[in-house]
Amino acid sequence: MSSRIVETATDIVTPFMILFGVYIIINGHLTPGGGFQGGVILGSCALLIYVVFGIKRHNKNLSIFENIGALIFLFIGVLGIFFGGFLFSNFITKGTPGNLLSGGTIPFINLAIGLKIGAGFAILFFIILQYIEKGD
Amino acid sequence: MKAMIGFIIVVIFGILILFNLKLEFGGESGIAGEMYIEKGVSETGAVNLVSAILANYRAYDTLGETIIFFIAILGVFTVLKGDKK
Repeated sequence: MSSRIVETATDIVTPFMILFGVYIIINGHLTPGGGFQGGVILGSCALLIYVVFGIKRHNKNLSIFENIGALIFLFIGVLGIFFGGFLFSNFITKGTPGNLLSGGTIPFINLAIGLKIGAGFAILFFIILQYIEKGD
Repeated sequence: MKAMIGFIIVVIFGILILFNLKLEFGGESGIAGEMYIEKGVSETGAVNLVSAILANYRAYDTLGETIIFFIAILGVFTVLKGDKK
């Protein structure tokens, strides 16, 4: 299915897609975007790799990353109970608005959600593509 | 034939909705919206107000969204990988 042209183009495009997804996640509290949006970009990057190079490129440890993302998200929320008084309270110093290190817990929550959604979409695409390949 | 009937139904209900439900886009933002706009930046420190609402004021809602996404993966996994022939 994949030709040399498609493989070369994917090799060139994929790093920029990953960079763009990580940028969207990290700058989620400054520019439009956030954990969900950047995670979907990372997941679609995984879909591109699966379609071009085959699903044998799938890493079986990817589900661990999804669990780690969800656990970090919950951990930040539970830490908010102890330090701020209620679930998901913003207990770190806020910083000056506009800087990269501002917004308290929001960048960390965005990172955790991005990890979880990116790995989750990669797993989702992998399962569906595996089913399609088995059906042929 | 079925597609034709569906198209006619969609057109009829579209006309009904267009002329009977006078939808207003925008308008006054209410108490919560004004509070977000006034205090959002100073309380959360995030410039992006949407991200501030999603990850700080309504983080509980985001938790529910991630759980829904997890259940979606679980459903796909169960349906498509359940029978190993």
